[in-house]
Amino acid sequence: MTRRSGKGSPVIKRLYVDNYKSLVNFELQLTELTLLLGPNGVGKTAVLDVMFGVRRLLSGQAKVTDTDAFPTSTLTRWQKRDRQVFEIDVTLGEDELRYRLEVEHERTTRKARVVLERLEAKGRPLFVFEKTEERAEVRLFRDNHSAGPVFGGDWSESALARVPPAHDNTRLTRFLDFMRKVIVCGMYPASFQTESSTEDSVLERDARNFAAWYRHVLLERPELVPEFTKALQEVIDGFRGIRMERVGLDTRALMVAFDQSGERYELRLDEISDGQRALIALYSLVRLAAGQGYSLFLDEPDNYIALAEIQPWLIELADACGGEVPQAVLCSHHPELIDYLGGDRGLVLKRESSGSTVVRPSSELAVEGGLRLSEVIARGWER
Amino acid sequence: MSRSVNTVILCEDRQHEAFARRFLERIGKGHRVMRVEISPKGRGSGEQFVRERFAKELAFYRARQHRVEQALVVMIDADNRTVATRVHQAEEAAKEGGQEQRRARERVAIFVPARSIETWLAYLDGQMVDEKANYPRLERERDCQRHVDCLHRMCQSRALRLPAPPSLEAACTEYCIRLHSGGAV
Repeated sequence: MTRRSGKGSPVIKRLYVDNYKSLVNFELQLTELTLLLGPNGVGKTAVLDVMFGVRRLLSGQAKVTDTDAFPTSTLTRWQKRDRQVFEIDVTLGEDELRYRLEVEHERTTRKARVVLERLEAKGRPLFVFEKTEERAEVRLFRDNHSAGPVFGGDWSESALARVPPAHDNTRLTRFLDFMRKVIVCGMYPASFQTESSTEDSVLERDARNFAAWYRHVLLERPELVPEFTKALQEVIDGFRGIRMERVGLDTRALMVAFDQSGERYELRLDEISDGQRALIALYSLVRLAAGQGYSLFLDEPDNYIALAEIQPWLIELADACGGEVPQAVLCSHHPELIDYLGGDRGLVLKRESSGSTVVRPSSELAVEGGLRLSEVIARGWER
Repeated sequence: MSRSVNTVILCEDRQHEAFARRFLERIGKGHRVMRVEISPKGRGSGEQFVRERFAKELAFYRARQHRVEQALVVMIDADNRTVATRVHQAEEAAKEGGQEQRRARERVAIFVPARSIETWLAYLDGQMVDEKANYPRLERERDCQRHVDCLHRMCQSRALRLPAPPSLEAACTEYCIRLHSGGAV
């Protein structure tokens, strides 16, 4: 009784990384909802860092040597090789695309350049950038793979990110749209800025621009606000709603309204607790960003929130995955996540004696009868 | 609003969870009052987890049963056993764990799909089913919403489509006796 593989919802099915931090010849098979488990330092966050770097490059927001992309310091320290390889397999409806990025470093000068960037469908190209000794060249292909224009490209960034949408490159454009909506986030609620003068379509790595992102999603799906507000009313004592207050020409402050014993009052986002900020952000990701194509790569989403609130949020996320939320990948050590998702959604990362990180499904872990998976891991009995 | 769980779902795998939780939601329970305890091993060997966990959850339930609307919902596939055998096994496990047999008014329900939850899903999809046969899993567990809706409609009209799988008929009786008339759900 094997489960049929899902079609329809856009999903990153495979990530391959070589020579990046602790990830050497590393391959990860992902589903609509995946929990990454494993000891500290094994590379869970490195996986998210790769996704963040690739998304930044493909959004045209970063040079390859930027700190949050692929600077030379991200080379695997015990490897002598100077080339990093990243591959992402994406299913977009019926289309199965593979994106490959190769970055070459000069350790002495700490310079790095993109030497290959390619998007293909079942081995047939949609886009190729190649840097050789002689030239750096972009070759575009149409949706039917026929050759298109050839022109020079910049090896310091993603040339793919510079390709404008056109009627004959819809597959490439869909890929870029999908990747640009990958949210990679390890929330640090203390950094949340209350005021914003812009609407940001992408949440920062630590969600510091939450207010600006909230403004954006609010504009996109205002009809979701009542349900979102209702959900938070059940989660946060006294919560009544969120309002963006004008505090300057373009600047708005995120205000949270409460009701205590019939007394209504408002607090700025930076005046509520870290846990309340985290809950608002987590429910925004599931309820308010729903249906907008955001895939979620979240580092320890359980941080800051009350124990009793973890499973209800997880249930909402799990229900949304593959639908309103195309995909979620979570990294966590928390027993609540391990016990709820670990049985069939968990992947365990483990460092081998060679230093490389390997992956196995958590369903393969030896679980002693009656023990929860988290307890098995806590006791170190899973090895 | 602080969360206070009043219904624990103890089950073998995610399809059980999706079905049981969605049915309870369909009849008015919010997921915030539910707690899901799911086997770490998944289907096949999950039955052992449910059986072993049952005694503990029964003890927790009994410690809190004076509070209104407490309920324990157990779901376990019959596989190649009978419904009665599975219920008996669970009750024996509870006994070994120091818990007496379920009493008449206790809102502790054991649902046993035979041969598996997929049998019920196939029936609710309109198929004629055989409780000894295997049926394919859904592509996604949450796709069972339409099956839950169908079952709910049958519940409202107080009639399963005939011929119904005996294990589902037994589950309906279990629901009426243990949960519905008890006022839990």
